Amino acid sequence: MIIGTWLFTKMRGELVGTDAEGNRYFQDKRVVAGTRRKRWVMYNGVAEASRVPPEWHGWLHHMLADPPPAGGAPRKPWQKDHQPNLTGTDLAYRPPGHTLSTGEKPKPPYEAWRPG
Amino acid sequence: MPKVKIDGVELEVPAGITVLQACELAGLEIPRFCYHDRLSIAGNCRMCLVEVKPGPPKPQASCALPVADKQEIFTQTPTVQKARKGVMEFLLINHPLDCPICDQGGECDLQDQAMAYGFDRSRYHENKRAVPDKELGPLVKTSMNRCIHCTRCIRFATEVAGVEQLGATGRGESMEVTTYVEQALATELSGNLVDLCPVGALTSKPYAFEARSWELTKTESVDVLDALGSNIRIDTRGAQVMRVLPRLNDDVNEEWISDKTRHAIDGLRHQRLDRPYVRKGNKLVEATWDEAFGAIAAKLNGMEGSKIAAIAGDQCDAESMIALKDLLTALGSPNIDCRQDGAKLDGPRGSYIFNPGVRGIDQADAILLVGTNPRAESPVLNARIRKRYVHGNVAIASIGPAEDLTYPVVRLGAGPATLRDLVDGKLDFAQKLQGAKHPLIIVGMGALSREDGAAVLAMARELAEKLNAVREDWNGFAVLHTAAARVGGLDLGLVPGEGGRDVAGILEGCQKKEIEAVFLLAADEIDTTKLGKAFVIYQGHHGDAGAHRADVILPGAAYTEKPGIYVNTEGRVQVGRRAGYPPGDAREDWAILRALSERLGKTLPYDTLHQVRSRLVAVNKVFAAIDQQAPAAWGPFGKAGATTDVPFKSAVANFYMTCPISRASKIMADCMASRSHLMAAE
Amino acid sequence: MAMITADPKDVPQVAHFSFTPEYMAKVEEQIAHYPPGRQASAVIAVLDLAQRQHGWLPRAAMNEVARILDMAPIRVYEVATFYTMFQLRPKGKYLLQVCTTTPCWLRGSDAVMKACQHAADGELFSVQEVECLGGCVNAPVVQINDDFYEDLDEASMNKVLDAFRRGETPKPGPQVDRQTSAPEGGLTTLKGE
Repeated sequence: MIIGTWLFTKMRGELVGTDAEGNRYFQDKRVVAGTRRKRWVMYNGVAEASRVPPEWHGWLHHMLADPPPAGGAPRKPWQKDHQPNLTGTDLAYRPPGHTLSTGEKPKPPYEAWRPG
Repeated sequence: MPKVKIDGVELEVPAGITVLQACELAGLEIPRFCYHDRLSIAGNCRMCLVEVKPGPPKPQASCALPVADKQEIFTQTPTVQKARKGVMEFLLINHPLDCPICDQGGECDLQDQAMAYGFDRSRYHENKRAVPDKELGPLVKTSMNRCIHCTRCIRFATEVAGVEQLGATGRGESMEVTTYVEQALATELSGNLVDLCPVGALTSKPYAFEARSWELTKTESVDVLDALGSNIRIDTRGAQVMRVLPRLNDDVNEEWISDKTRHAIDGLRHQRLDRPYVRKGNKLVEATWDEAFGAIAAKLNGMEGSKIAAIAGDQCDAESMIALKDLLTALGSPNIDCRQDGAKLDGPRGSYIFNPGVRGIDQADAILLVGTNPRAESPVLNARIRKRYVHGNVAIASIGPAEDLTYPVVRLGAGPATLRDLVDGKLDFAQKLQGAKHPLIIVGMGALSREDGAAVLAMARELAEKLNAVREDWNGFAVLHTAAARVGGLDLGLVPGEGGRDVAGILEGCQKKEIEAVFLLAADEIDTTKLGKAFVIYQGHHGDAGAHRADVILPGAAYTEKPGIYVNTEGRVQVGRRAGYPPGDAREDWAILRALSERLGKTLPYDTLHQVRSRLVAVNKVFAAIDQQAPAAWGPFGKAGATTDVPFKSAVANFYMTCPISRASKIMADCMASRSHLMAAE
Repeated sequence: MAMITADPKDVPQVAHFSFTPEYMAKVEEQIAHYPPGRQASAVIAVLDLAQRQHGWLPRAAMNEVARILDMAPIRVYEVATFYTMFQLRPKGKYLLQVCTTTPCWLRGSDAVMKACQHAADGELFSVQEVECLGGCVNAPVVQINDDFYEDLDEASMNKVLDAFRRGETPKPGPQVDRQTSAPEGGLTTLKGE
């Protein structure tokens, strides 16, 4: 969180909602005719854009007019929980042959002879 | 020489060629499906239409039209374009639109030519015809809906392979390419049908749905599964060899390769040695290179040179063989041999190569086969002899096993006695040989790898000299090897030195405990039970006979995994290139020997491939001339002596399984099963 | 369109075929028409003889022909499947080959065809639709084994078939009152001396 954003939020921000992770979403207090109101997010922790869940992402980028209802948008049974991009972290996906990957190694493309 | 004008360019062309060939000489590509350089002309696809003046006012099939003087040929006129488009449209009436699931996709003549002459939609609403697929054995997959009836496969089977089993039955819309009575093709060259087929009707069964042609890395190399040294292209994807295709070389394999060359490659994926092993107690235990070298050094250090022996295998590259020989020399051992089968060959170069070259077969007018079954030993060379037979005016006779060689052969007899009679001029065939301008005597390993091999060799030489077959312009004495490494080994002198032992001597020494350590360089064709209590070091790429007996295993590279020089049976030095890396901890063979030599305190004087190759040239200057066949030295060889009555046997009992790679191959096993099934049916 | 195949799998093949002595003599005569070494040229004639002897051409017969003429069996199969005169399935004693090409069709081959199909039982009669038999001037034409029956209609066709049923051999040629392709009812010109 940088001071500028914090100050801006204090002065102009109007809290719209909070997502499951605790990220808070704001929009501009002022309404100027002919312009759309600025929307932004204050992260609860690391500022990582992919932590914004899809329903809030839609609102944040002005794709949706209204923010998701309190308690989250209605979910389908097949819907998975939102997961931020894990690239660069310990939890990042590594293909089976990767040096750091755990679990089963892929079979070599040949079948080795073993003394019987 | 006729003068013709092709698209306004005047050109002088050799007499007797066709208009299509003349256009090719002019640098123009004429689209074609049925025409093939090495097959007879059919003229049934009609794709190669051109306009010719003087002549009827209609396009003519250029593949079947001979050139004539003052002919004017037009290949790009609107009439020609329109005619070709019409032909293409007709071809596509019944051709399925299954390119996305067709293995030929990306290398399909029909696809390519449809780009130039095809229409972007079909004008036909009728159903396409449906043709049942045929069963052509374990190597060729058929999808007969795709067939455009070019009849290339029929002509190949009949003319080149010599098995008249494919034909076109029915007529008009119900025409089918078929064997009629479903059967696998009884030929060792069936893989070539797949290359010939301009569409996806015949595709490779083992390679079905494995890869697309554009995702493969192509490496031009040399085959080592028989002694012909066919020129091949190895297609790899990642570390895997996906397929092997022939490469054009008119001097060696034209554009054919045998089924073993093409399909034994799945053997490269099985039974591989990928790490060193050291025998501890009764068991082979995984080890590091350091431990393996340590175990060898502990055994060999201080051992007398004469108690050490080495045998080089049948598929070794020249680099590893020279490293082996230099190492043994450094260790003070004269016991080295590259002739696992015990062939009695060690004379001047002319005594152990196929002197006239494969091209010489085309010239020969009388051919004598001694103790060889070329169909099993080198099917592509056999096809070359068949080509000579089809050309006509040649007498072919054989002394040895009675086999169907796909062309008629007069069988003179079975053993050395017949050869003696022939030398003495007692048989009718002797007159034919005497009258021949270019007599050719092909001596196989079946005649030379016997007790009396040296005497047979001497007799063959006597015959050749008596027939005046060895002279300035022609040397008709030909040795047909079965091992790709043999000529290279002999060129490098991998034969017993002063007081040294040959393979039989080494094995005998092992049993008498006079030999205490044996180095097997990928040598699996010896009787390993005779190695007695000797300390056996096996360096190779497959867990075959040698590895089972070994005390230390050093994992080496197969022919696709190392750059190597091989000398084929004609004495042609050819370079194989690396298409992939050896599996696991395995390394290039000469480098292993170089590293081992350091541990033994006898460091070999080369560190790079270039230096090894310089050493090869220093040992024998034939290695300086790549892909050339030079006349070889001639001199007395062989040892006249008594012969036995034992009939000659072919050196290759089973074409499909001759080496560790083909023995590990499941596809070769399938081929063998299918072939024995065929034989049982007959 | 149905699956095409030259090798009918549903045909009951016979295990063995050999020429009878009298047919063998004819085979040898046919082969003698060609220079030595060119015996394969006799393949169509020999296949026809085999068909005459056996009624149709089982695979064993084709193999036997290949053996006699020293040809690869597939070359014989190619010839046998190419020509419609060779029957690769069992057929009745009389093969009715009804021409349905335009001239015969215009002259009423449909009715003739109907009569033939009605008679076809597979044992005495088999029926086959064929292209132009070259007898257009006497259309409609039906070839029964080696003979042409011409100028047919449904009634005369039935009459011919009935005669065959009785074991007779009706007179081949026009089934109306005309000599070959001369005008019906006798000559109209060149009557004078």
